[in-house]
Amino acid sequence: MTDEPRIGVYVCHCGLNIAATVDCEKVAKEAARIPNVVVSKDYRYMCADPGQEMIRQDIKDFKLDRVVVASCSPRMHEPTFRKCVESAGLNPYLYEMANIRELCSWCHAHYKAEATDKSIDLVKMAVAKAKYLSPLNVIKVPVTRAALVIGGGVAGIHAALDLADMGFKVYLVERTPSIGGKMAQLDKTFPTLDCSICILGPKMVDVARHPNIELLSYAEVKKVEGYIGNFKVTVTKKPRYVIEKDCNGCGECSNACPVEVPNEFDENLGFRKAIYVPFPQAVPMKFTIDMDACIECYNCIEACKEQGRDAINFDQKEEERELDIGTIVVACGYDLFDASQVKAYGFGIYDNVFTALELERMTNASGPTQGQVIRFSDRQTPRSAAIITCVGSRDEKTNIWCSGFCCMYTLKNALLLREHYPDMKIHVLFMDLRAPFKGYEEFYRRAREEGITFLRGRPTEIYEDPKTKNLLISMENLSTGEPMDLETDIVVLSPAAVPTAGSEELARLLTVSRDASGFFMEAHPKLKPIDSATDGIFFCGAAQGPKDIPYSVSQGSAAASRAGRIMARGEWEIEPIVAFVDAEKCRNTKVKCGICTTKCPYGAIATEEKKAAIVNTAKCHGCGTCAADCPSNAITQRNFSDAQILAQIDAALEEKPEEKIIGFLCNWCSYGAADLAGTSRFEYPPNMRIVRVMCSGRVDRDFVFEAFRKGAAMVMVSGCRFGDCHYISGNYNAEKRITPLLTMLPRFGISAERLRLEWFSAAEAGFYVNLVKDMVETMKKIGSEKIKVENENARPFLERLLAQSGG
Amino acid sequence: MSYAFFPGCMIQLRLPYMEVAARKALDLLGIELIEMPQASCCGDPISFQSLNKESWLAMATRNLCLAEEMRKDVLTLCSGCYETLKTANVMLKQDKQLKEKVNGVLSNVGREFKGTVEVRNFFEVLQRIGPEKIGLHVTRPLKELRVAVHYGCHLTRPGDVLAFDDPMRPVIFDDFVELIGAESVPYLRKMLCCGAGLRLVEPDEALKLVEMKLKYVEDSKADCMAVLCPYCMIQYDLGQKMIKRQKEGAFQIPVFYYPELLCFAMGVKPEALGLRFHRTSVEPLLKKMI
Amino acid sequence: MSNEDVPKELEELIKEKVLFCYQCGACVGSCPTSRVISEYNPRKIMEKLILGHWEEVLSGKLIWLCTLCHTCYEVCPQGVGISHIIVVLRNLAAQRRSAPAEFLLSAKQLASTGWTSPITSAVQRYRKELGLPEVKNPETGELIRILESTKLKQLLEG
Repeated sequence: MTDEPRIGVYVCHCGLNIAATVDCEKVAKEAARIPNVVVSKDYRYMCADPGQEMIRQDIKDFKLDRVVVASCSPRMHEPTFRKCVESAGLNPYLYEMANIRELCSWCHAHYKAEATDKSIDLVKMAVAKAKYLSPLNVIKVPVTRAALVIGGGVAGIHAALDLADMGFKVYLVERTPSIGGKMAQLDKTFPTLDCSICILGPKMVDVARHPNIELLSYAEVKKVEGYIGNFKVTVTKKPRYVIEKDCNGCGECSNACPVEVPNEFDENLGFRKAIYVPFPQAVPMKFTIDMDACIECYNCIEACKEQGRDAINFDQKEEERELDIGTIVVACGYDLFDASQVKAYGFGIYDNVFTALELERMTNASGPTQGQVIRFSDRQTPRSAAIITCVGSRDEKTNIWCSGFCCMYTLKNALLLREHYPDMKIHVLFMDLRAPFKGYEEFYRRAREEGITFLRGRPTEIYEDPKTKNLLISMENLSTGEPMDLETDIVVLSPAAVPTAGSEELARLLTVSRDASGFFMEAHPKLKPIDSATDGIFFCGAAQGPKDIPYSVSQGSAAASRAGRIMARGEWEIEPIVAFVDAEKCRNTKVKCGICTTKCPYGAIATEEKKAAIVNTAKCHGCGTCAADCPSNAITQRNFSDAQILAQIDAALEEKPEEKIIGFLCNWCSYGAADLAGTSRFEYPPNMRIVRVMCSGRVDRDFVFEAFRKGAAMVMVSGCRFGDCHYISGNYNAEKRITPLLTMLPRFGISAERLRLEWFSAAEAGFYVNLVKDMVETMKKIGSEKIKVENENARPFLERLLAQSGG
Repeated sequence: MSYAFFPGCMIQLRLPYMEVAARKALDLLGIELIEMPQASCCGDPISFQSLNKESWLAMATRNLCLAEEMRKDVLTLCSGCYETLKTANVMLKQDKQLKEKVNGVLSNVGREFKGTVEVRNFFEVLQRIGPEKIGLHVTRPLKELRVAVHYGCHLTRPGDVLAFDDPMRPVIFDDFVELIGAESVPYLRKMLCCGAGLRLVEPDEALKLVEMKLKYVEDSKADCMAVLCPYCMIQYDLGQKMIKRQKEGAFQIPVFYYPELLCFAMGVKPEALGLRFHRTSVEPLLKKMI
Repeated sequence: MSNEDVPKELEELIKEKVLFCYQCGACVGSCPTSRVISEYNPRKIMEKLILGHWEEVLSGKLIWLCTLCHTCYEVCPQGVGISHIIVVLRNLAAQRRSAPAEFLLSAKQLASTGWTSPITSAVQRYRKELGLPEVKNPETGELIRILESTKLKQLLEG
């Protein structure tokens, strides 16, 4: 800390986003009164060119060595202003941000006076932290010029091809025996009615042929370690029991195999052998043995030998590959909702109720019924069909979201039926018809041109006529306002798109978040739809949310571009917010300690016998857990040091502390949720004063003690839900560390309910808002008088504890 | 096993033959039924609930308190009672505020709901006896009997409270029909309500709902219907007598209360049950069954 | 629109449940009453509430036609729970003296004897024939005190 820092404070109006609620001029004036603030201004748009220029000019004119901007969330513009400050010759880490928009003006629209006071507090906190900032240099790390694409559907294929064309090595990992994904199963695609596998097939072959792409099929990602530019990924190749380099895909083994089992590719409507390729255009064209079906008759081995090859090996084992990866693209697609969950529609019970994908396998000329649509009850051609949309979508009982492309594939299926059966009566039963993009509304018109009837109404239930096995659909015809029964030969259900099986585990492996619906969560829904919140990992295709083929292809290329951007430079800059050990304070030099080493999830801090702990800055991800758990307070975190955090607490509680709640929110989840609450304009009382930490693991007990010592009414410590911690185990450590305080504090006289430990994700803005409201209510119930008395009684104990830990 | 016995007013006062069948069947299966002398109507899910839900809950809860004093789970014979008592039981256990409110009303009569017993329907009791044990008693399986099962509405709905079987496509009643050797026959609109709830205000229209269901049952060639609720029994058993069809002539579909079928399957003589009280004669069918 | 203020209970219910109705008609498809009485349509009742026509709903006879089969409650994709709302609407209508006479009569019978049907000598005879114990009237004093506490007694008498 400089003895006499020269701090510039800039309060942004953000047009009216902040200024409509917060009196920015007043905030700037109040900030000017803080010691060491030599200039304090307010301005309409700090992030715009003139605003940034003003900062640059002031740095020169006023010889500023610290800059504080009070505006939006650091998750939004911290990099912007760091660059601005750097361009004026100041170290970019001598910059701090106060979030008076997402955390203040946007959520306290009806508390104008309080919002202004809160903004003043937030500025004071930022200034207090700024005093303790030190110049830091970004850590430059090399970037491995190899990408990992997880998932070989249409999005993954395009991401892989674009990256490979850019000149990067690409590992494409696909867990099924062939790439192609859902698109390979389709018959035709909307709105052009192109044959699906015909347009996808050549791309699949391109992948197989590309010199830069190594296709690891029938393989899964098992472990991911490291960080952007420097991932170490372990991939498990499952045993095919077929030697890939020796198999030429002739198929004689399959012909000789006596076992037939349902074929997943055909939605179990047809059969395949125990030794199989999933479909004729499979890439790679290598056979696989399904050991659950195989009876080990070894006919296949004989058949292969007759062809002069020996490609089958029943002793093949699982193989592990360790890959050095620079960037990761997640393209694992979606699953279709299991329509049998909607019992009232009878899928799985009634013979003649199908899903859309089953229908496409039937209309497909190379499908199990050679292009014929057949009723399962009597093998007859249906003369009528009813297609029901929104099965498992837009429904509180199953999935609340709209799956986006089902209306379009419903239209396509209706047209496929019409193409095959010119005289069939085809009804589409829908609530709303969503046909938003290029050529889509025209496609809807085309369907009506072809005599397909559209009935608006959500069917309530379906019964099967016991004799004819026809289906009787009960619904209201919304156009006439009358209940009706529709009798039909077959029913086709359009199921929702749901997150693919294994998403939860993959998200954990990659330490990325999933949103409330279970799809992978992008860093920013508008401006960063491809980036995950974890540097170097990108999403594309339906993995990020249900979408159609053109959108998936676009995202595949976008992910390649985002990943390529990092790998092109060969090196990347990492934020230097790493752990730092004061060797003189480290206990390990005197007694055997090593607590930091046990807590670190990355193996980034080593404690050799009798030596002070050493941080490997390249491996350190900056969670701060070691700093919080160090018993001799020897470790701190750059840019999130003890001094900086304690200064924020003190500044926040300078005035009327008994009305304030100090919240320690982790950057990735809880702070994200607080931001989202502001973005969504949810209103809640203005009592929170948030101290941002990168991880809940950073929260030292001393921080809680200090907050109460300074008179805070309540303290909130929050982080990600268990299993979702961005730093893997930070929240577990925080829970272990802070939970005992719930029994300790009451012994000093502080009611247990004044400390809250909560875990929620960045998608849970509502949870956060209700939590704050609940805490404010509790605060009011206890009453400021009692709070003051409890704090007074506890003070001597807290001061003793703080003195002991050297904090 | 023993239960606090709650037959309800409809069965006790209008269809006592249903009570006979239930008592006989449970007696043969070794279940002890303990009377609840101070029990009243469950609370009437139609008129009381519609006029004042709080009164409905309070009356139901009073009955539950009686069972709590007896330390016995309650066995209901009527789906209306099942819905009423179970709703009160589940809601008061879940919602502290509601429990306080209802206990406040009950304090006027010196009673307090504690939430210590469960409410069971006839099938839940059978489930707890176990299909194997019941199978041992089925000495006269009702082979060749084709039964159209009518679940009614309040055995399974509202599903989140009753949590007994799937609310839209239940299977347990069908399973118990098959357990006694009969065939549960599929028919259209199986879950259609009997219309009892409409009877108070629009009795003619309620009868149209009865006719609708009976037509489908007739089409399915079932020999009889099976119900578990006295409201449904009145609708279909008495109701079909009231339907005068011009062309096809009167319906002749006997309606049984499931325990009656169970009794037959366990060898109980028809004379021991009050079959003569059925409004649609069961005589022609009895020969086929016995 | 209405002249007076919407009752608080109804206002809360509308905010928490009814506003989410997106008028899909799933509640109507299998509604037994709507099959036999063409004016009855639960979706339209929800729409009336959304548009603020609650007085018309409370004073009308339509809400008394629901059979309380709860099919709408199970199938509604937005969790509106129509049949449960109908019960609240009926309660409010009853307070405003809009309940049909048939419901009041049925409730009065129950309130005075503790049973929905009278205990006739015929039924006591049948029960004896069938070997069943006699039925007695329950302790109606408790019942009356309960109904006084919930104000239903006053409603039935008024």
